[in-house]
Amino acid sequence: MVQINLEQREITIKIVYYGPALSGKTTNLQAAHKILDPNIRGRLMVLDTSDDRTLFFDLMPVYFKTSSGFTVKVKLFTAPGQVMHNSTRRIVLQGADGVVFVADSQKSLSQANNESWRGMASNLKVNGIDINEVPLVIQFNKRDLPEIRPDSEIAEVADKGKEPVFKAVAIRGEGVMETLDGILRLTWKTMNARFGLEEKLQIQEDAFIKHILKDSGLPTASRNLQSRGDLR
Amino acid sequence: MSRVTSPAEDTSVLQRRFSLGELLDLDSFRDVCESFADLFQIGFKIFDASREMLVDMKGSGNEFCAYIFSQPQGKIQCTRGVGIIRELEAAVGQPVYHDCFSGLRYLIAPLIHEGESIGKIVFGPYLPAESADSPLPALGEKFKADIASRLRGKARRVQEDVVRKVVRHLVQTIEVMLYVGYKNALTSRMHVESVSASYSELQSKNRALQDSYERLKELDRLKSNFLATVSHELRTPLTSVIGYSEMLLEGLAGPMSDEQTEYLHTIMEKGDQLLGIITSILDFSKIEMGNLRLNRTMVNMIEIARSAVTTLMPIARKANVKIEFANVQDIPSILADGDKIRQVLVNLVGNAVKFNHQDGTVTVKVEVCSRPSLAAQENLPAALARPEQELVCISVTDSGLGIPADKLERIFDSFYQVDGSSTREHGGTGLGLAITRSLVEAHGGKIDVQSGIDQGSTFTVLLPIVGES
Amino acid sequence: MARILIVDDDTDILMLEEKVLTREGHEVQTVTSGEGALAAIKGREFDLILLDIMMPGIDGFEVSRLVKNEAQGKSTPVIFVTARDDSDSMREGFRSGGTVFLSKPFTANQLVRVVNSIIRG
Repeated sequence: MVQINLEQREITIKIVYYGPALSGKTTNLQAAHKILDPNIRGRLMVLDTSDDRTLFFDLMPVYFKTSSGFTVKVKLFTAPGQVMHNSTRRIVLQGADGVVFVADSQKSLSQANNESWRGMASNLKVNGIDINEVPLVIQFNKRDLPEIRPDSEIAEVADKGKEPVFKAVAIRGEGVMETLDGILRLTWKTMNARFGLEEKLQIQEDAFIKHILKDSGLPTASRNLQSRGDLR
Repeated sequence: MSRVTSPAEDTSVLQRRFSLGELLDLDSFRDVCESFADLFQIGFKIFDASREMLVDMKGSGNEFCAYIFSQPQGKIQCTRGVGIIRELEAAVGQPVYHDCFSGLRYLIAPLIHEGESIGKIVFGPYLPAESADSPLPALGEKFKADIASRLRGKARRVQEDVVRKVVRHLVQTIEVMLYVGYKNALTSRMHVESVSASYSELQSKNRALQDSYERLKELDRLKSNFLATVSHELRTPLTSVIGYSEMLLEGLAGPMSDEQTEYLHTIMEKGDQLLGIITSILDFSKIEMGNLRLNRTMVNMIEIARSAVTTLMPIARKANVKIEFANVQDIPSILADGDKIRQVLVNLVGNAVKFNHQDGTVTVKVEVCSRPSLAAQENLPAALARPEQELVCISVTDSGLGIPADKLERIFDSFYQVDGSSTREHGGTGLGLAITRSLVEAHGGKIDVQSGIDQGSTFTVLLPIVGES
Repeated sequence: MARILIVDDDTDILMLEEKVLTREGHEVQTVTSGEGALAAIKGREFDLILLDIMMPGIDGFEVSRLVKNEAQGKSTPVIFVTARDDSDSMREGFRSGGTVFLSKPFTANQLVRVVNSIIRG
């Protein structure tokens, strides 16, 4: 749940990267860490095991101050993918303002994707978050591997579904910023509609995005992404 | 403080703000600070966001400050200065200076965590190089300028750019320690939360299991009840069938013709058969439900075997089959349920008679034999078990049709008949061998079978030699 | 020659037992309920009671307990004649004062043997 502290003039937004084990959630954050301006992001905190499996979560804070003096903090989390860590996933999802579902493009892992999605729906529910209301984008990662669901299939699925869909090869940094841009915009739109952020922070969507993504090579003009409420 | 929050947020481990003190291991942190102060010969203080002082390092300017403070005038001004410093907040990248009336200077820099100030470091007092020789303040009569001057000389004199470098270094070191502390704090928090959550899950799963267990126990109880009731209901009418047939046979209702007698024998036979089937089924159910209780006493198997054979003599005679006893030795008495073993032998010998040719033979042998140990049943690894064991072996051999090799293992299955015939053919339920095996195994024993087509079969009951304990 | 009370709600079985025991020379009285049994006991003394367990109204166990309480019935042996052969029933039977359990169905010989052994013993 977005934390807005009007007295101290600060707002904290929580974005969670969720998905089956090894789908590339941590990789997404690592790539973003490299690309984002070091002045607006903190260290990438990785709480993992000795064999690089996320144990609890990864966390990377992004922060900037608006010209109107508001401190905006966007905290990017990843939830651990391994099946046994469900209670941790539930805790990480608490108060999430936006979710990126990182799916593995490999055909053999469709089942894992689906199970992870179902788990996410359940965990969101337990946390009092409506999966139909929360800003949610899907990233099909590992587009560079063989035996993946073809682009045509992805495009079809993207059209039919309500969640914006992105393709990525996170390990090469491709598609990572696009996805981040997508979720940030969607989250902004939703929260703006609910809390009137534009008014309070005196800042518009494009400016908000520009503060974070700056020169990451993405067009900063607002895309034609509808807010969650309109898509149903 | 106005906040827009949801109930979940209050408990969210990851949203919690930590204070400076919580993120640092203060003991080791103070050690680091001491070595810094020692190295630069300049003291410093560290405050957290709520202006609590966490660290107070004295440096070379300490003696001078103490002397100033000892003067009543000095004390007042000092205290005021301290108050001002306390309130001073520096912004990121823009340190703030405070010049003390005594001529010493302080540099205040923020400590940043997650983009915001979590405390500040008040570096100093130090003697700015350019004001090293400025005049001392006038602090009243008792104030000895020469002492003050000498003490001030002890304070480290330093250039501004050096000061800035030192402070930046100090701040960076502290910020790394803050990050590590933060990481540790989050990790241990998450660990606790995860363990709690897992524990709760386990609790509720346990409760669910316990509920299941209770329900199953109840079902068991109902089944037991059902068995007792069914047993009763089936046997009560049989009492009349058998009883009245018997009365007729004994002539209690008048003399019977031969034909009538024959029919009555049939009725009684079928009544008995029905009783046998009911008993089998009930026995089997009891075994299945683990309700079988053995009544163990010291028994001699030769006697048991003879008794079983005696029971079957009439049937054997009718079927024109001879039962022979092939005994050569004495065998020790063993601890067993005599009735149940007798039941086992009646079943085996009965089968041997049933599945035999006309003029066939059944040979019963009771002896002590050596067999590979029944270790598997003792739950011992092969290494510890005795390689061979002495057992009481009771074998029943018939000269009948034999059992094909592929059916050999299945004959002990419940309701199985070798030739696929209905159980009516040989007057059985197909349960006999299943019950027999269960009874033998309940004694810690084993039952073996050897057979060949047209070569007859040999069933062997192996029982461990167990004495009174 | 003994005076035997037979209690069973199933009249066929009652008749069966009566015929068999009368043939042996015993004096037999029959009742079809627990209540009837208690009334009969009050009327006269018996050397043996053959008791069914499952009856509507007072069951066999209760009858046995009550009989054993009465001064007249205390020393009268009780044989439970019943199709109930589970250990719980047996335990209760012996606790309520029964001497023997005869399992239904029984043959005439079995019945006679058991009765004679109790009478003589």
